Order: sequence, then C-alpha cells, then structure tokens
Amino acid sequence: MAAARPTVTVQSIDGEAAEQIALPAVFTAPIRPDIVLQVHTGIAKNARQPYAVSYKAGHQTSAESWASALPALVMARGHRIEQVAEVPLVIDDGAESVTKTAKAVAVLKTVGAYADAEKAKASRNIRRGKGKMRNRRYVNRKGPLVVYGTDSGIAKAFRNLPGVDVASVERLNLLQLAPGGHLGRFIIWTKSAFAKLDEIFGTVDKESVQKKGYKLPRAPMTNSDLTRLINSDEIQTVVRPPIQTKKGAPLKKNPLKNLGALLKLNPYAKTARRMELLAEAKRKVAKAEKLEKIRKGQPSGATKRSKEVKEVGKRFYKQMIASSDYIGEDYEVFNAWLGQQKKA
Amino acid sequence: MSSQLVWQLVKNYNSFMVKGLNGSTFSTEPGNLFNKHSYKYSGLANEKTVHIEAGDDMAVTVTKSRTKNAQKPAAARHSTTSKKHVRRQATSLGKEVQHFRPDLKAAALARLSAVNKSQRTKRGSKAAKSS
Repeated sequence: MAAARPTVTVQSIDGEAAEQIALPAVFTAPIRPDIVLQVHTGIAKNARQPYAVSYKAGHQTSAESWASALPALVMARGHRIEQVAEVPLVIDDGAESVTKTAKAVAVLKTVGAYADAEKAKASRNIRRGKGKMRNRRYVNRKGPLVVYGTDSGIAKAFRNLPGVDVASVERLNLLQLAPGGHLGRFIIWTKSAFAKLDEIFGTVDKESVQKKGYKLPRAPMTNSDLTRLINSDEIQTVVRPPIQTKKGAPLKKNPLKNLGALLKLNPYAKTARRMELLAEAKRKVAKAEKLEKIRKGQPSGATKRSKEVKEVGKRFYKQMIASSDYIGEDYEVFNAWLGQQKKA
Repeated sequence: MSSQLVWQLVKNYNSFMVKGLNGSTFSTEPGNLFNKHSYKYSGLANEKTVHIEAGDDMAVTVTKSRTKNAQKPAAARHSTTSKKHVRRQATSLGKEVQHFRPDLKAAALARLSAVNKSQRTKRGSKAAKSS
C-alpha cells in the first residue's frame, strides 16, 4: 500500500545492513492511465514531428504521476519482478559509481532485477513490417529503468544492457516511465535519486522546488476500497434494508395425505383421529384377551347355542339329505362316495 | 491501494490477457484459478490469491499470497507442496481456502481436480503399458 507506507528499505548492493528511507509524496499521487496515455501519445510525436506537440506536454500536473510502486501494475506490464525484494526498488548509492557493465549485471543480480533484463535481452527479434528497411530492424521488450541522482559512471555501465534504460532523476521522461503509454515500468532507484523526488515534485503541502507553481495532485477519494466503503457503519446506517421479495406460490399440499394440511382445514380431525386410535387399541386388547381365554378352554363369555336350536339344525340337515333327488340307477356309483345306503 | 482501483487500471490491458474465441478473454497470471479475466479471479488485482500448480511426480503446489508482504514480491507468496492423495488434499485445501478466500473455494477445488487429472497417466498410453 503505497499511500500507507511511509518508508522503503534501501537494498544494499554488497550485503551491508539495510537502511530505511521515507517514501516520496509523489508515490501517493493518483494514478491516471488516461492522462498518461494521452500525454504519451503527444510526446511520442516528438520523435518525428516536433511541431505537433503542445509545449505543455509532459509537464501537465497529473501527468507526472506514475504507478511504478504497485507490484501488481509492474507485473501487469510484463516485468519479471518475482525475485525483487521490494517495490519501489531503491538501491544503495554505491551503484552510481559502478563503471563496468559486468559489475552492473552483478548489481542487478543481487537485487533480483536481472530476470527482467534477461527477458528483455531474450526478446530481441526482427521487426515485423517495413520498419526493417527504415533502420528499425530489431525490436525488443523493455527491461528495468535505472534512475540515478548523480552520474559517477552508472549511465555508461548500464546503457549497453539491452532493454535497460538509464535516466537522471532530474530528467525523467514519460516515454521511459510508461512505455507505450502503459503504466508500471519497473524502476530501480538509487538512494540519492529517490531522496530527490520530494524536491522535484514537491509534497502535498509543499510546492515543488524545481517546477515553478507545481503542486502534487491529490486523489479525490481518500479510500478507494469499495467493499470497505459499502460495509462501513456510515453507509450501512443510512441505506434502507433490502426488500424481501416473495418467492412464488407455496407448494400445494394434499389434505387427504398430509395431516398438517388437513388440520388447517379441519381442526377437529386431530381429536377424531386420536379417538379412533384409542378405540382401536381398546378393541385390540379385548380381542386378544378373548382369544387367550378360548385357547385355554375357559368360557370366553360368548353365548352358547341352546339345545332346541341345535335340534333344528340337525333336523334340517337330515331332511336336506333325504330330499335329494340323486336316487336311481344312474347314481349307484356315487353311493360309496355319498357315504350312505340307497333307500329301498 | 485498493484492489478495485488496481482492477480498474489493469482490466483494459495487461501482459497476461489472452483473447480467445467468440469474445472470451482469459488471463494467464499466477493466482488466477480459472485463468479467467475477471475481477473475482484476477491474480493481479486481488490482495488474497490462491494458486494451484502441478509439481513433480504427482505432487501439487499450493501458493497463497501474503497480504502483509504485498510490496515485497520476493516474499509475497508462500507455497506448500504436498503428495497426499487427491481426496485427502481436496479436504485440506477446501478448509484452507474457506478461511482464506471463501468465495474461491469451489474454484480451488475445481482447479485441484483439473491439475490431478492432468497428472494421471492416461489409459493405453505408452507409459501405462511399459510399467
């Protein structure tokens, strides 16, 4: 969080103890890709037709803001910064007196920035299109930008590395800070360059020393964290509660099958059902008792048939057999089966 | 710097964007579980990201971002490699992501499953026959 962090560690190039330096105010300026792109388009014309460019280009207030302090944006530009200790990357002033390119490579390696230079080197390719025949034969990606305060050999040491650009902090150029108009160039600052930034761009409450009348732009929003804003007490207390919408018609239940639905229609059903169950239980018990008694040969309490009734039954049976018509020669064969003698 | 602001700066163009067929846009940055160009899954904009990758020999590497070290790229990620069975791994990963980024749980499990599928030897392949 650039805005909240007051200090940055200075990475030493020879393994000495690290030291802290205050973060210049310019890193808290709003990031404006729209302005950067617009101004970039303007300045980029410098190279071919100087008369087309506004004299103000590159010096307009917020155009000077850049986003090189956010790892996400530097990564989004395609820089290899996975091994870098900290962003923004500030290195020891000892790097300014490096005179040999071999030593410069060693410096990049110690601070974990060489991967980006390697990437730029490996990307060298023949340009597509007619630019080839117009003295722009090769293309390659941009590597890190090295920004120094005073040149004691650093510019010459780094300048032969493909893709690596070197610039004085006094003469920063948007074309180098945001190549292609895209924010987030990977910048390696020397300590003295980093310390000079406050003087060049001024702070929020102090005007710039070098640019007359220039004040750092401030972000219109102090807090850009939307989730935090939405969930803040201030906002949650004034918004109305969410409207609860009904979710369609409720499911229809069959009262003949669903007891709950039945009870809604007929509250007496509960009592009726309970009485029914009780009666059934009673009946069951009585039946079991009765069966038990019968099995034991005890009087079950059932009424017995009287002798007269029995007599009536017997008489009826005899008469039924006697009055049968199955008599004659044809039926002799059935006599044994019928179990009685043929009447004479 | 809030993640919403970073997304606004990054969403129009960045070096990881890949435009696919039929207007679909993908994204190749680490920490993007579905490789989808969207705020929710973006590995650039979000402070908390989870990345799942195939390691050597059926191992799976899970990398989580450390919000405390957001400004320090070299220390901004913490990764663990595990060789557990994928089902065991799914259980532990699910719990871990549930605490870290609950909204990414389903995506993390889906990616773990996809990574595992890529590691399995295909049936009928040369490697399967020789072993």
